[in-house]
Amino acid sequence: MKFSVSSSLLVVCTAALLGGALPAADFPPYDGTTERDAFWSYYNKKVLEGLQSQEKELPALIAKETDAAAKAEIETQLAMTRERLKKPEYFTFAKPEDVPADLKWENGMDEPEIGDPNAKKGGTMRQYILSFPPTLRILGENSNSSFRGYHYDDVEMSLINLHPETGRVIPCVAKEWAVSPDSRTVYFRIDPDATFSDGTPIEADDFFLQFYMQLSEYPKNPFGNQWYSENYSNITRYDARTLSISLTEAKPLAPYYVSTSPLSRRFYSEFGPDFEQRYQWRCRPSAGPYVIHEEDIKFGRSVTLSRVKNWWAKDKKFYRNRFNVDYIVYRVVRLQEKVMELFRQGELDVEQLMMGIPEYWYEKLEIPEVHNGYIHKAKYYNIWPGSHGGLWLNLASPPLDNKELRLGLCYATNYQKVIDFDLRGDFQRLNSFSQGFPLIGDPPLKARPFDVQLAREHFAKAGYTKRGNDGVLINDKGERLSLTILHRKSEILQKVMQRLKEEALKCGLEYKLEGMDSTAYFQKATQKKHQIASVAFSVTPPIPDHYQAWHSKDAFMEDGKTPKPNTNNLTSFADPRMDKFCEDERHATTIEEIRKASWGADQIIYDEAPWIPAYEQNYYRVAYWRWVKWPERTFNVAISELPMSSHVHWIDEDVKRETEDAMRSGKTFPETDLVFDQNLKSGGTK
Amino acid sequence: MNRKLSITAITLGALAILGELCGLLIPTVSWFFSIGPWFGWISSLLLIVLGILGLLFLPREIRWTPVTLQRFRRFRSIGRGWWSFRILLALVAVAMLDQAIVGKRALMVRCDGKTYFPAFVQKRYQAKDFGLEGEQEASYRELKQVLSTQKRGFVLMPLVPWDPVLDTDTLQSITLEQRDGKWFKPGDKEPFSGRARTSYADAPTLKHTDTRFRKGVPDGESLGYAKNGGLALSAFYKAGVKEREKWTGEMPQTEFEAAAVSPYEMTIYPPIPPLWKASHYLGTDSKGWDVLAQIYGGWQVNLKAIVLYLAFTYGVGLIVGSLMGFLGGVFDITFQRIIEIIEELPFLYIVMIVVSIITVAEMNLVILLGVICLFSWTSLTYSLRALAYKEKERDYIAAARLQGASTWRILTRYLLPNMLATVVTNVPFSVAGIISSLTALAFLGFGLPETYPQWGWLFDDGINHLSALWISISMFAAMVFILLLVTFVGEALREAFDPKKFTTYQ
Repeated sequence: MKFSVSSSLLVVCTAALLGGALPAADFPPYDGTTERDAFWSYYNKKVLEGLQSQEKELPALIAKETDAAAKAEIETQLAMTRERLKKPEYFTFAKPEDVPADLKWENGMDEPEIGDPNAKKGGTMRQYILSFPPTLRILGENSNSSFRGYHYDDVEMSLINLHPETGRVIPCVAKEWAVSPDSRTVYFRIDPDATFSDGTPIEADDFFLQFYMQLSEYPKNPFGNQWYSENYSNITRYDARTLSISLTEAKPLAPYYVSTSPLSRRFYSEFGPDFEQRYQWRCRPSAGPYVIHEEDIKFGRSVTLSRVKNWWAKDKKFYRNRFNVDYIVYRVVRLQEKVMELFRQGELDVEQLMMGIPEYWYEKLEIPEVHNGYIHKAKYYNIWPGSHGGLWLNLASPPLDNKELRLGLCYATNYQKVIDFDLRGDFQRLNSFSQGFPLIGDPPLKARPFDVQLAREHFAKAGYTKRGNDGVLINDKGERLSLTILHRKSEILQKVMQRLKEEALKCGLEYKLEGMDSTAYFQKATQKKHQIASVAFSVTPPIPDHYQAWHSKDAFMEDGKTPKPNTNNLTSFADPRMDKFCEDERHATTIEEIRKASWGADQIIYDEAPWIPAYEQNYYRVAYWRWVKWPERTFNVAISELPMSSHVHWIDEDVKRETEDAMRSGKTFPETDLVFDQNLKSGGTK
Repeated sequence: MNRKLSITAITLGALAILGELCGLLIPTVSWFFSIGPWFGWISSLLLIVLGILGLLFLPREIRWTPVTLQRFRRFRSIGRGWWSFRILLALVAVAMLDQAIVGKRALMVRCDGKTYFPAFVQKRYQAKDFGLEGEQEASYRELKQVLSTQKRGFVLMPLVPWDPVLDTDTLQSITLEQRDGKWFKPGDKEPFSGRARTSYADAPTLKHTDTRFRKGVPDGESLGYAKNGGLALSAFYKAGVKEREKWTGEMPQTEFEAAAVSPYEMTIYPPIPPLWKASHYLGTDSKGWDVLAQIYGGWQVNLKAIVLYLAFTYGVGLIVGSLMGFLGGVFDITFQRIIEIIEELPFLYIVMIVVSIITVAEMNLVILLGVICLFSWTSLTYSLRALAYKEKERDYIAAARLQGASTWRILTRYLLPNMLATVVTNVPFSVAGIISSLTALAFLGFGLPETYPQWGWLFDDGINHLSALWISISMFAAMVFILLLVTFVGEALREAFDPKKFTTYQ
């Protein structure tokens, strides 16, 4: 009894430390529904006023603007505003008969099934997280932590999905959908079976709630505010199970772009100014197969996801035989080394994140558990663009404004040696920004190789002609060719950077290394306080996005000199040609147009050399205890970033018992080291 | 003694300036200028001036008092301490040989009839100076092989032909041999298990196949690479039999199979175990940097740090401490409060914060020591203050004062020699302290940048690669050895300076 009191005290204290959270009951009751219902007309008015004032202001801007390209851009903006003004309403409540009659409804049922029919339900999957999640909210402060992927992005259901093998649209919460002839509006009919895990049916209003919460200023959510106001022009409810969503401009794959998840009206009825505190640890009813129960949040220790037993989609074609595990326990393990030990002891079932590192894969897995066949290894060639890793040169920081110098840096940066030496040839050189998007293909560009001669020639053109005593080049003003690389402090990255430094010295270039912990380093880079930053942006298929990293609007403040803080344009790169390509890429309506824009932008990046691409891997590796089963022939789905995120695996309890018995009696199984290369495309690396 | 010291100081300063002017790199002496031209000029000129002043004003020999001589005799009679002291001196002498015994630059190159001394000149010879390709600095280890095969001359390398940092070997490999259809590591009885690769015969650096072996035969994944490095083939073996293969089209199959290749070799990725044929006597760390060279380089850095640290902390500590005791009053109270404030600050944390503000990239030994000294000069003050309080009431001070001696004279001629015992017995502990502090800071990642060899980095690497025992064991042994020697010397000093010859502890 005494124990339970003190432990519950401890939990409360930890909870208080973890964000000032109070139990749900301690918040005074609040009803946000009236405010919500008033929001629709309020926001419609706001949008209308915004559009009208834009229509008034833009012509004046056009008159003032001298640059032809910028002028053309404002003109398209004006045309778009006028187009939207024809139907300015953002939230529309219509009648069922308002749905156009001539729509071509699709249901995607011809696509192949995803799950494996041999899959068994049940079991507990034990995984780890490196730190306890700061919140369980999906919106607002600190919500964008890696844990959100596990309990929301990977398992929540949205209107439609893309098939992870064919890339085509498959139904999800929406049973059918239809795209308007102008490719701007998509109509959805919600599956009549669809319910939240608390049993309430999913209705069109639950998608309205998603829009409401994303547009609201109560949670700190600038990205959502911007995305929902700039990309969508309308959401219409026709009846409880029919809705349409419109984009501000036509896009290829429109259903994918408008697809969003429902949020339960009942659960979020207390949405208000104190949303972030009130909902910090509340467990949301889900449209997906997993929910978190309040008693499964063990503060500082673990969070458990439980399978919804009578999930509405459990027998639907694309969702059956997936999401098989009954419980997924995410246990906090703060040290990487400890993760490996726990995995070895069978306390964790799967290790997926550290297996990309050659040392772990080759040496730390040369253990009896692997040799005796208790732990299996698999390598899977997936289809997922590699992250945009590389060195981002800040052009606003002299001498990096000199193009010859940047070209010299490209030749003086020996990523190939890093690949051969430190990464044991497991990676390959990344060649361009849009590499690895199967839809548009790889641009015909090759990263510049390490070449002492060429590097020195370019440095000489940049004015660095003399050699100092330490072998570092000096220009006429007596400045040494010395540049600082900002990077995240981790064992492997430190090694990579030191290798680059050692090799660069051969070209007369000195790299100074500044390793910082991950938050601080990224902050410094986005504040543009770096000279060179080694950053890898993660990338999501199916289309590359140059806009975020290269558009000039994110390069400088109004004065045109000071780099603009808090943007992803880490190179302070401003080039009207590039802006054109970036916008074309976002506004493109066909794959051909996207390809033209992406490849064009890549050519500029290649020519101007503000970015030195690093390396990428076209497969992932995973080690797992033999009771974790995967589809036998295919192992996983092609379009997947990590093995677990597609949830096609299952746990075989019989095999688990058999393995545990075998380990006790000393019986061994054949060593298993599988390779699945069905996605390794002929005629290229990917 | 004074004369010898003065002459040594003048010679050192003159050599440093001479080396700088003539573009020479004289071991140890060149260090003054390697920190920066201003540091070089100031320190070497200071040495010369001090030397001249010493010659002019100091008596030729130091007249040690009988008590001091007695203490020296006692120190020498303590075998363990005296031997430790001599070994330490020898280690310092070895450290002063610098690039003459550890370094990547050749001591002497005889090439096409000309002689070069790359290790001892500031000029960096380019590869093309020796008829090799490129403008990068010549790699003398490579040059050694080239010259001996082409019979164009010879290269004399230092004992340990590696720089402590930023000097990686090319990948080492062991060629496997085939017996009765199975592959073996030379000398092994068990067939080979692990990864092995073949290379293109005409370009040994380009890999052709990369295969997993189990019990001497291919088993598992086997990857084939085209000459441009692209993946050409992904095949899978089971007990030596190819189960399936997939060609990516990067290179035509016939061409790939017809290419001439080397036999299978096993690549040794860093950390490389001790390998005499590659002159890695204690192996390498996980970056491929030589462990012995790093221990040596770290020892040098520690010695430099010790000199700077002792000079500053003992200088300031002595002056402030004795003045506090001797003057007393407001001066004493003010400094007491200041010292209390400084002592309350958690030293290591403060240093870490300062280092992360300055950033490791901009760090150098002088700044780091400056920061450390700023917070550690206080350690000596309190005991000296107490001592000064005690001594100043003694009759001999009163007598000196009556005779009209100035404060300065009383401090230097009478007080200081009587406080020497405390100071000297403290030195070994400070030495051990600064070595541990530097190592701890480097271990935590808040030390000096990677251009400095540091023991803490080796420890960190050893702990992250526990299977590579040679890293942690060598580093551990070296550090324990040095700290033991220092402690033995400290013990002996304490005993020698103890006024009682026999002490019974209760």
